[in-house]
Amino acid sequence: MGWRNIYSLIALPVLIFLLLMIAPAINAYNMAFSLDKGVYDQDMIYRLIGESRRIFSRVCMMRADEYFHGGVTLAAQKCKSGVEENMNDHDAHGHDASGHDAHGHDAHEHAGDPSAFKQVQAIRGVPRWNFLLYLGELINIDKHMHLSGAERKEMVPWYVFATQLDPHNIHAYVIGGYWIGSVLKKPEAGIDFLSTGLRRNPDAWKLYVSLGQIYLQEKHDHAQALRHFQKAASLFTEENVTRHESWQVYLYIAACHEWLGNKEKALISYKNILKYFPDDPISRKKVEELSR
Amino acid sequence: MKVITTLAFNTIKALVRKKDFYVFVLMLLVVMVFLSLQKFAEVEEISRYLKDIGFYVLWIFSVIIAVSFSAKQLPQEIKEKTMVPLLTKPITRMELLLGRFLGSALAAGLAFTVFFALYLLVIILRAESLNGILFLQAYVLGVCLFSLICAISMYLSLRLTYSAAVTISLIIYFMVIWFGQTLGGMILSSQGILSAVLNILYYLIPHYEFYDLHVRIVHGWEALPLWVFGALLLYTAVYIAVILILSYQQIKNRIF
Repeated sequence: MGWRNIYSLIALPVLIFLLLMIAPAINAYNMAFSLDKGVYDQDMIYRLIGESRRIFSRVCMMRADEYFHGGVTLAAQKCKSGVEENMNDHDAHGHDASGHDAHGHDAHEHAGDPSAFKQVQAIRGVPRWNFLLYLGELINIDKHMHLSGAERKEMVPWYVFATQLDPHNIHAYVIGGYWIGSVLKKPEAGIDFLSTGLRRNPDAWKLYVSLGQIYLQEKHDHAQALRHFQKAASLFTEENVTRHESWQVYLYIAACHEWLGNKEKALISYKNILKYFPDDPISRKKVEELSR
Repeated sequence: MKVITTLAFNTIKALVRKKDFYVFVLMLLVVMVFLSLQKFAEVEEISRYLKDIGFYVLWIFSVIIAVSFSAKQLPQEIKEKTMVPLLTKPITRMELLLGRFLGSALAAGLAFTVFFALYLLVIILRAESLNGILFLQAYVLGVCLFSLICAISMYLSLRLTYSAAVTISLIIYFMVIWFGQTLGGMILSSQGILSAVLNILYYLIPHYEFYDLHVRIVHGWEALPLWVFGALLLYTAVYIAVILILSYQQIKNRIF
């Protein structure tokens, strides 16, 4: 009998014995860990990839952004934004007062930085003798474009994936809900999408605002819109909302009262806004109009 | 030439016998069907995600097959001591190398062809419009890429163990795919010695990222200009030739 056989004869029973001893301990630890973390209440994706789902969820959001720009990566966009003079189409793309456009970009995101400018200038000046580099630049796509028309629906899967991967990714629900409900003109589907988000995140006021916006702008149901804006306002705390965001929601509430014909409530709402935002010209004008 | 083709076809037969190839076919089919059946918030006729993920999966599977298959060819011959009887026959070391390379490249190309056909089938069944020229370019460049990967993996397998060759080949692949374009940007924004060093590095690394046309396919961009396509074919041929010469230098005087 060779040494390999002897080793095997010793090793196998030892391993089996260890497995039998250790397995219940591992199982008990696993159960305790899972119950403590609430893993058993989570879906299959969470069980499989755990907390790393947040990273994948963000990757999905970045993917959606790339799709919006025709597959051009964020790095290429930022680089390009340094020299593109005709970037006004972003403004025409629906920036709201909070500095985010329809797609969730920060207004400053596209402000080109000097290094990007320098780099793009260099790309434009790639000498042809540097053949490989020149070839690479020709293969690489860095044109700046936005999806339009029916193509805009192509981003939706990535928002759905993002929310499936991380059910607490409020940003994904908000932007996805906007695209589905308002841009693609499918308000019912948008409401369903946002309602799913609310079931998983009952304290997320931004989802109530998004729902309110769909009811207001797409379904013209002012009563439902008001209900959702009021619910959103009731969830405000000092930590979870900025001054500007709260102003926007209070303005929606006042406007809904006005559209519903409740002039007194609208007037009170606008006056309340002026207490906190004395420089707000919209509320000032409305107070003057409604006081006549 | 006959010797080379005989060796190549023997290598292809090995692919047909490999189970992992069929597993990959099945996995790709499952992924494509699963993705096709997805519904997204009542929004219909969405296709780009399917083209995107499907292409990515078929690409990765092809890379794995190309690397694992080509890195095994020569070390296996040496390990199983079949190299010596093979070299006693009227066959030169260059013919042996070319035969094994051609076999690996054809096997990887065959696997890629099956994956690509399956991918195309699913897209056609969904009544998607296709840019024929672009798909043809993507296919040809895919075959070129996997030939290049085979040549490099085979070269590495002559200098390293099988597992190390596979690991390094995959690391090179992902490094180039992820950072190749960034390196180009760094060259353009650098000056002096740094620029020279980066340029040398840029010319030395295999530019796998040049062959990936999936962004053009998924987002409906135009096909590559013909001369750029031709230049890529030429680049592939030159790079493979250099790698094969380096590989030949490795086995020219080696005692097996």
